[in-house]
Amino acid sequence: MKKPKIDLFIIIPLMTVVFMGLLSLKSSLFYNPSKFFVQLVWVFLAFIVFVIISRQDLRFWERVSGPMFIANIVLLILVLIIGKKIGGSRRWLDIGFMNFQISELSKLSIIILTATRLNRKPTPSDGYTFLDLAPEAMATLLTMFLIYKEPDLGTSLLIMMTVGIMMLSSKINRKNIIAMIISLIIIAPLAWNFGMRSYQKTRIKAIVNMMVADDSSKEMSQTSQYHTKQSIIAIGSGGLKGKGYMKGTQNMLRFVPEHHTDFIFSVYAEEFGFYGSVFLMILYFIIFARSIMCIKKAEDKFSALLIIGSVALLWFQVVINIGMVSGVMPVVGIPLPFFSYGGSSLLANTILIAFVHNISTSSSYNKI
Amino acid sequence: MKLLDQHEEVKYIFKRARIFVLAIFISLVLILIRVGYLQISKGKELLEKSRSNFTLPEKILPLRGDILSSDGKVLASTVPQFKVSVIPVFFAKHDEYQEKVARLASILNLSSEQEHRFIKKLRKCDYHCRYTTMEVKSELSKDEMMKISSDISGTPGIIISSYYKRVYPQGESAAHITGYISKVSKEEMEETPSYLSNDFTGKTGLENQYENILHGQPGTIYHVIDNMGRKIEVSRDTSEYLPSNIKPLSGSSIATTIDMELQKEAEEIFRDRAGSVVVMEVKTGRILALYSSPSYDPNLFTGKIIPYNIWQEYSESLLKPLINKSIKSTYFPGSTYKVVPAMAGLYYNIITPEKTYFCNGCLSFRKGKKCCWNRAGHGNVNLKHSLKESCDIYYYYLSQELGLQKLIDFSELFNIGTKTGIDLPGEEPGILPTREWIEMNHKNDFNKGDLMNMSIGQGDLRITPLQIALIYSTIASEGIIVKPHLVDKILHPDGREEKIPPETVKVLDIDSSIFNEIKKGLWSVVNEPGGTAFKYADRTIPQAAGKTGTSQVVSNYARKQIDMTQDELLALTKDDALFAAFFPYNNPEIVSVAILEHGGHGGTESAPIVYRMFKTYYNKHKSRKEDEKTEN
Repeated sequence: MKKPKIDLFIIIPLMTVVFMGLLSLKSSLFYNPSKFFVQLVWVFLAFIVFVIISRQDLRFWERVSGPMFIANIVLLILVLIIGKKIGGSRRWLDIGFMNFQISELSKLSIIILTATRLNRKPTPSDGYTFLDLAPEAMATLLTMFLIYKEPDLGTSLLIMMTVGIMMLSSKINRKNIIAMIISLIIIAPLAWNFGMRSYQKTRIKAIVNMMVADDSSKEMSQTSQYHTKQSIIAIGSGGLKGKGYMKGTQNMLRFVPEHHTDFIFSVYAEEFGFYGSVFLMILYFIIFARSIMCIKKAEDKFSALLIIGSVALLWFQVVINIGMVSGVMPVVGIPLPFFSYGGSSLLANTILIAFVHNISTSSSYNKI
Repeated sequence: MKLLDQHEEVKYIFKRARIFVLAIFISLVLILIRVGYLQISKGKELLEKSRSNFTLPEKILPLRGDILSSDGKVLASTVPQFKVSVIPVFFAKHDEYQEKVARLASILNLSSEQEHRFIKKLRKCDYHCRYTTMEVKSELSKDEMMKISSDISGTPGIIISSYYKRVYPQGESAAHITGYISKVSKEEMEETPSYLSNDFTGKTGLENQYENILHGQPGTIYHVIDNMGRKIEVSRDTSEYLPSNIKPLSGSSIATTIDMELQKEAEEIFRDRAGSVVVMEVKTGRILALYSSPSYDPNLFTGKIIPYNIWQEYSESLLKPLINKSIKSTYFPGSTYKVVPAMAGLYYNIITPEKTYFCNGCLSFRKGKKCCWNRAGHGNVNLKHSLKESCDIYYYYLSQELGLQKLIDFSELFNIGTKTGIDLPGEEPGILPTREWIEMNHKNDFNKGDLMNMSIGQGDLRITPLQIALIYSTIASEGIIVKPHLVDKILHPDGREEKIPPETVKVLDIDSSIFNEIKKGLWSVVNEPGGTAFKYADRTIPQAAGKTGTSQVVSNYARKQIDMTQDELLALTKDDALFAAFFPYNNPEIVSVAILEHGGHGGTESAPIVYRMFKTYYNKHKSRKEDEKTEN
């Protein structure tokens, strides 16, 4: 199978999403054009990164996965110590020209590390046992824990789910899975009744009740309730056709907080209506479905798992983000990929999709 | 154990991944179902919510109607005033306001006390308070505002707004007529939900009586606000979602029957002495003057709060400046009441005008002795004589022949003990001791002496000056009881004039010969030598007819028991001086009653007051009449 130079099924919908994102950002940042310009610069940078990675030999990432993981852990610890606090959590490192969100790097790092390590560890015919996967699981848990401490429960869970999908995509020993399920059923009630203190229970209940934001204090949950309420009004008031570009009252009068970052979808849905929402979901689906199809072109397990991890991460972000913006999931601070304002997130997501594009188009591997 | 090779691994992963695609598809559809639910099923409802998010209805207070006198003077009006307020959050950071306040204070010329109070308020202000307006200085005139507005405009977070202030240009002269307005109380807001929290309402006087006419309807302006509650310039796109503004409806003005010239004259006469004077048109019941002394300045009460010290001073004053004595204070009518038993005597045919009783100064009866004010006695006294010299003994005899019931019945004919129905709030009905009243208050020991007391306007009888005026106007008009009123016309903001017609309460079926006998008697009081007010009548104007009254407030016996200095005793226990009269004697036009509390003798003290009213009235209308004559 001859590989094309570029994969239009990825490029066109991706560029359309980015374009729609920029439109919405322009609308929501109408009062701050310089901020919008910054995002334009990021998009330009992301484009360059995309081109470079698309043409790269991906084995480079296999080689640096270990050092990259260690560097990431160090940075995560550094963030907890000297990180910049914005909105109650410490997630950013001030690196002069920008505030870099280290957890975006963690997403990349953990996906690459997992893909690399599972690649080097051939799957037994009846699947991995838990013991086989213990080192990867430990690395993931460490990353998760450090991100959780920021606190950023959303990204932490996101990483867990992504790695989980990657592991499940490889073969896992069925007996182990059954054993895990049974033991969970037995241990969970015991732990609930005897092992946990009441504040921990309250906290878990709160999480279950979907009332909890990143840090589970009451004030935060009230704020996030306000966010959600206003965002639901924004989305719903858009109706079928939307209020028209730059005419969303919830957006223009800034009733939706964070409307250029995590809540950007509310701006889009308010101004472009249900038609716009359907259009956006179709674009995302094309990107994801096409990416999965590219596994067929993958020449090794590393590439295949890289695609799985990338798509899983992007997909989870879309579902969680729109879920929280439309009020069916707790507000956890996950941006909408290729849409929300923010350089770190755009870069990380671009790198992921560039991996997919690389695998889809690169001729650096010999076809099997 | 068998290990999978790379090819098998990729194949295996791809096989699994097809389930993954399905999961992605389902999840995105679920998202669309949720979003579609919000945008399609709940779209309208949420659109309404988004609208109410950014619309801020601002209630606009209506312009209150004016109160005018019949001669075109303004008794109450509304003027625009300006106030300066700040929104703390935009004005200064919580801990760095000292310098900014100092600058503002110097621009606004704040006293150091005002400045201190403002800083204290700023310091206490937290959270929501920091986004709301906080008044710095109010009651700035337009000129002052012009001077400082350029200095202020440089500082952010400062708001200049205008509001209406009620003014009473006549000050104390017409205070009891207009009353005053003050901020609505909680109870008033509950009663009338259309009031706004910063609204004002008439508390007393015409302001209260005609509140519904004067107040007007508030309007609404819809603003577009952002998430911080800041008002945003409306673009066309958002304004189409806004409800249209409602203009406030100004209140109607009222033109009163008050003649400011007479009213001012009354104020001058009394100065700080306690009392009141009423001038009313006989045929229509139009009140030309209604002055109660001492008065108060209604301008002091129109602020947001009534200054406590002023309120205290007014309310604790023994002279009761806040009470409209003409309609709220009840007095012994004294000899001014004698016309009632006199008419009753004629009406029930108990006396004839010629019948005489003999007055030798005192009258002894079984339970005691009652004397005439003139201990020397009046000799043989007929009806006219009894009125002219105000002989008490005549009425003692008359009351015994008349009996209590007839005196009560006849008094009731004249609506004594009933409110006159004047268009002012809080009118007192006074006391006419009916049978029931006597049973309740006297425990059946009402005796001859009590009836005698009543016949000369003492005892249990209490009556307002306006009620006395009404008795005399009924005599003057020979039986027509009119309804006294203060409002002549309602002037609607659209230019429409609504005349309020005079009302007659009832017409008495009493022979005019009876009224004529009484009129003759009243004429002799002021126009025949020996009449109790003869010396005080003004001979430069046409003849009037009236009756003096000198009512004892405290009995001589009680006076001795009171522990007071001589001066206080004199000031507080001296007789009330009354005079009631109509003018001119032929074809009466107006009636006037003056009462000077603790003034002494009715003839010496109150007759001159009434005569000055007559003279002012006469001089004013003389020219008009002469014009009319020449026209005819």
